[in-house]
Amino acid sequence: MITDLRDLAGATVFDADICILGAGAAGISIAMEFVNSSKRVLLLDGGGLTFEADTQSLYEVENVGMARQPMISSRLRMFGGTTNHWGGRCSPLDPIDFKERSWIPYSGWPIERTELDPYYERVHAICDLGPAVSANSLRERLNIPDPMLDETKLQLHHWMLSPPTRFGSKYLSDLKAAENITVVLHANVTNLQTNAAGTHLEHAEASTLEGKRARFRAKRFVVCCGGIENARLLLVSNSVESHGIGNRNGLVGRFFQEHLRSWQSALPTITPFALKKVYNTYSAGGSNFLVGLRLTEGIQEAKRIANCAAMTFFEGGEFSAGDAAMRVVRNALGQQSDPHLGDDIWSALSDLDEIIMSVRARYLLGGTRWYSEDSTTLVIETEQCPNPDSRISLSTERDALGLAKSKIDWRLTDMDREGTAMMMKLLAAQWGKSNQARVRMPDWLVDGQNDWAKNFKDVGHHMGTTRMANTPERGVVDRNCKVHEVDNLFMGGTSIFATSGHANPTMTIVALALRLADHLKGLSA
Amino acid sequence: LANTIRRRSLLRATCALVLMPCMASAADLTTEQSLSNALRDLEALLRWPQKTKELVARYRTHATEPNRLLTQLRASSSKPTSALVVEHFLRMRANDFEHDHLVVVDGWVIARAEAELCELLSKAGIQR
Repeated sequence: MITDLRDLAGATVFDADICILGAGAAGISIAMEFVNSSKRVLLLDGGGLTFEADTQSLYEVENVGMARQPMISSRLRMFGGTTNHWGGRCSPLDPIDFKERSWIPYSGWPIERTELDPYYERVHAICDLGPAVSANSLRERLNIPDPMLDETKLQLHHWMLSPPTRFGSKYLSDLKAAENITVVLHANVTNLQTNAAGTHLEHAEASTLEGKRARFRAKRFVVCCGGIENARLLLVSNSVESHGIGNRNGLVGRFFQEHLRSWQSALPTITPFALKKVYNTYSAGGSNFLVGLRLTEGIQEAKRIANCAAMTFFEGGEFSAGDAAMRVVRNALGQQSDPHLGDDIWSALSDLDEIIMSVRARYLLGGTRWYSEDSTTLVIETEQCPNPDSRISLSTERDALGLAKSKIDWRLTDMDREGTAMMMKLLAAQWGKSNQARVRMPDWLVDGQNDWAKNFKDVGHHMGTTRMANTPERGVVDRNCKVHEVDNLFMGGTSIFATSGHANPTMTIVALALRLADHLKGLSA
Repeated sequence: LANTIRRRSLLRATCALVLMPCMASAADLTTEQSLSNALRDLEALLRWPQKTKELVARYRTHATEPNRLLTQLRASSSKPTSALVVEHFLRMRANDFEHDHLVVVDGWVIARAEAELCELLSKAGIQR
């Protein structure tokens, strides 16, 4: 059933067994696990079924740290959450991401990768990924030529590509039809009310922008509002304890992490098509893949660096589809012999959109080139090391509901730069040895100049602000995603990540949500 | 070849040995034009023509063992087949990549052997 708080008359009280706050990837995944079960479930979302600018403005933040992309656009406050505009790239965290690494302070999860494996498998159906492929069978399955890597240092890595699945669209009808589930739209949660001891959550209060209010009571609550809002909600709920809920050790909002993306252009490709034949997108058996590289566990330990992955993109340049098409044409006209005719034909056929853009650039926009000067782009995504000084706290500024905005102070350390630099050196060595390509590092990465950090791009993966740990001194939630200090409050989503790895987070968000749902099912009434 | 070596400095001779496989004949080493042609061919061999040229012009002293390449090339000078010289160089380059003996010059991450070769070329005044 779906209801809209704006349409209800007067103050309203809802009761349920489980109240899920936030209808994004995590919240919807948990709710779907209870469809047609004996549990009464409330699923709240602050937005409606479509984008609304005034609701979205509740995501405005005060940024006092590094410059970053606007928070207002990196996430979406509507049913389905940020899955309404995610890119669809999926990968599980690597086993090493869960381990305590002596060279990375605050690393280590209270669970191992093997505990998430069965849930990762289930994510494939939820995110429409198609059948999984093991790393060992990847090359054979996708017919990838020998990448000529020293596999003690670098390994092939693959991401699976979701269409991408829009959780709101895909799962709305099932949730709507489920008699035991009530979706409440435009329910902006403004406060979590605990008992006087701060150990039990009694109800959640929500409001519409028009001022209608409701109270949601449940045996258990799950907060799945995103990596920033999860922390904000605990911090603003300070009517009982001034520092907020679950924050007696001052950890809520700390360890704010992002994936660090750097784009390195002008990568000279030496052997035509050598890189493109390996590091590219593939389709096989109903699944779509992107193949790149990642650091091995051994090299991470040997070099004392964080996890890191790399991928290449071939937009424009000598090996672009536009240029390939021209070589095919010239070959057909007898003007030029094309030694790679087969590859060129395939490249042209598989990238028709790029050819159209090339023609447009040359003939409609008056450009003189078919392609940019940068033939290949190397994209590196690095794990940010957990840093307690990188944090979210409350601003003195208020949003339209009167709540304190999030104040974001995103900080990096030298170790974050070193991971990316090491990846580039390893790539330079591997590709140089195999004579495939050469790598150029920008000055800021080589020298660590004072303003190096501004060259990293945040990618909208907000993680770590209510991190998982075995003890309340190390983290906000326990291994079952329960807030240490509150007996019926659970957290879902990226905020519970202890470390971030290099992998895009959605797959792990959903896997952890499924695991949490199983845990909730097992709890007694 | 022996006469050539005696007439020139050791450094210059070493450069000649490096360039030799790319040249039509050893006698051509005496002209700047053939040196230029040889350098072009060597660059093609390295498959990095643009950056080799830039490195020759810009190389700064980074190498920790500046005489290593020289020693290796001298050791190979008695071989009748000049391809061995190149083979040595490529082997050294591969070894550097294997063991992360890397040098960063103008941002380009290159093998130490490559940097040393560029240093030799630069000292010998070989410019295009």
